Amino acid sequence: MTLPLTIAAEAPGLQQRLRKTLATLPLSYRAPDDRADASVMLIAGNGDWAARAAAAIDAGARGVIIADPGITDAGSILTLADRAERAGAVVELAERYAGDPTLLRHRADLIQHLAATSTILMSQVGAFATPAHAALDMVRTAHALGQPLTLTHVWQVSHAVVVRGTAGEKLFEGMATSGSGGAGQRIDALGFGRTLRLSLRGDGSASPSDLRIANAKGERKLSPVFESVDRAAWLRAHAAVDGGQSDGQALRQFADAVTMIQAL
Amino acid sequence: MNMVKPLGVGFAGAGPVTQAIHLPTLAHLPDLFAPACVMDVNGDLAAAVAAGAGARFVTSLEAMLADPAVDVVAVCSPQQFHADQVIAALRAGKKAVLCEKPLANSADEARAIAEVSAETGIPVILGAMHVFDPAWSAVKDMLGDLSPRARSIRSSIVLPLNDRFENWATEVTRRPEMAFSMPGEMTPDVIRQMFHTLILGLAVHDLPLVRAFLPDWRDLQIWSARQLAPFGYLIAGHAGGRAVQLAGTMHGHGEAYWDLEVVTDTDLLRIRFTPSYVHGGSAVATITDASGAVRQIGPFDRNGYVEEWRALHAAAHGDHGAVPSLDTVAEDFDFVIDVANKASASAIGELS
Repeated sequence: MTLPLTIAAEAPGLQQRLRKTLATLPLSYRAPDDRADASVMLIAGNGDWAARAAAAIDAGARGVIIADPGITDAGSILTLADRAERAGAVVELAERYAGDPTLLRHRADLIQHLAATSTILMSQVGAFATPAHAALDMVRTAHALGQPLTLTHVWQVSHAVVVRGTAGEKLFEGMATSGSGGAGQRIDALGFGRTLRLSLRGDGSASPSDLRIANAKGERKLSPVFESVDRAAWLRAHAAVDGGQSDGQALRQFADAVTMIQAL
Repeated sequence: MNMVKPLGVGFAGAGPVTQAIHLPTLAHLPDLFAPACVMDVNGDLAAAVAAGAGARFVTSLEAMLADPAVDVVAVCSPQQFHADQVIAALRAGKKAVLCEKPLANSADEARAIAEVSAETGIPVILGAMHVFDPAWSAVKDMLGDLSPRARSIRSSIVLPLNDRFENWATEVTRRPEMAFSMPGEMTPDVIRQMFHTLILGLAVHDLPLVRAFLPDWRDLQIWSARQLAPFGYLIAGHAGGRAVQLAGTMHGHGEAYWDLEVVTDTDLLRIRFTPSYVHGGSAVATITDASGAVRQIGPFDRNGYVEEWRALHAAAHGDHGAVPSLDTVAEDFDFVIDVANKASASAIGELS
């Protein structure tokens, strides 16, 4: 039987997000009587989120969930990874694109098909705080797809940023544009015998993303997962807390991505 | 009933474009056009294609232009002949000329065509099917709203090789051999030639539409230009504060993706085109706003091929407003050449 964890949000701005996800996990999570007693803290991924997450762990949280983690000091992220491991606490990243439940469900299949492609194009539409934040979203998705993406170039105009790099032998180019209509991330992976077209919604809802693989046999749509990014992240966090799995590896990869982008 | 005799069409060049695009398109417009003459330097090919179309055949442009049954000329020959053949048709006093893409090999040739067209008063239209696509025509009516707010423009052309579409559109007679081998060494000349071939052969379809969202297109600067294996391009740049990405590649499987996407502050415009050679209606445009609401335009039952021929018919009968002005076409061509020159220079720069 699953024992519920108590969860609270660090900031008033996260309350609605907390309530919506809490309502979908009535057996796994409960709201605490006193916010200070929460075993899991929901942390907004803006500003110095790594420092705030570390503070929550220092205050006794067994787990923290970072909602849409963005660019922050890479050293603070590494410090958080170390501190979480020492405390046996879980840090889960709820990333709007890289944490997409449909993408994660089919990750192994996608990685296998991506091996037969030579170019990855990414187009992202949505609000972003800075070009570096937009680049981070694209890099994280590439990493979630098992691509060892290294960015080499970044260019920008007032409302768009273009990044270029390599993922092993593959050419990568991504363009992010600030806009409110048709928000999402689209990935086109091109190969002579295979094409992948992944449309990630990134809106935090349970509406599924659309993933398609085309080859000589035709186009195959991968089965959708009607689950929100947050719900999936909360479940992972619950399983990790239950299992006592405190692993800072994901945070260290995140820090590497931040460092790479800031070096451009 | 006002019966108007269909215009007789003379085809300069009898290759797959004539066979798989224009002859099937004219079958949709029997009241407006009738194939009259097919010219090709390969007499056997001309004879075979003409027989299927119920037309006569000749092996020289002069003979075709001298044929009084030829009212309008469709130039579907290799591009190096386009300018000379268009100008010859204009000098021959035909009613109108349709020239396949690209209009010419150089900006000077394009200007020469525009000058002779102006001098003779005979309209020339470029066979740019996306420019005439009804879905694009509907979007064009909204350009006054969309274009000033454009932030990025993205053209993605991911297509199977042409032959499968040609084979679904007709029974091709004598397909030319396709040279599809990679050069041994990527010298600057090879790169320049490759980018010009790719831009004038593939990207050219959408560049007039891209230009419509780039009022400062003459300021285009290329950030990056790469050749995609085995046959394609990936170009990123900007003009007037707007980012532009052009991607085109051909592959060996069956799915076709041909999209033009424009992001504004509040809308995402996406136009999905059918592959070339397909006689199956228009593109479909969608405009998604910030609320997630999607407005769809099309599909219409007519495609850009039908519409370009209808425009040609109107222009041949004096309605010159039915077709883009040659100044517009020449500016489109300037943009195409500009992209090819700057992309190849960027790619050569990266090589060194």
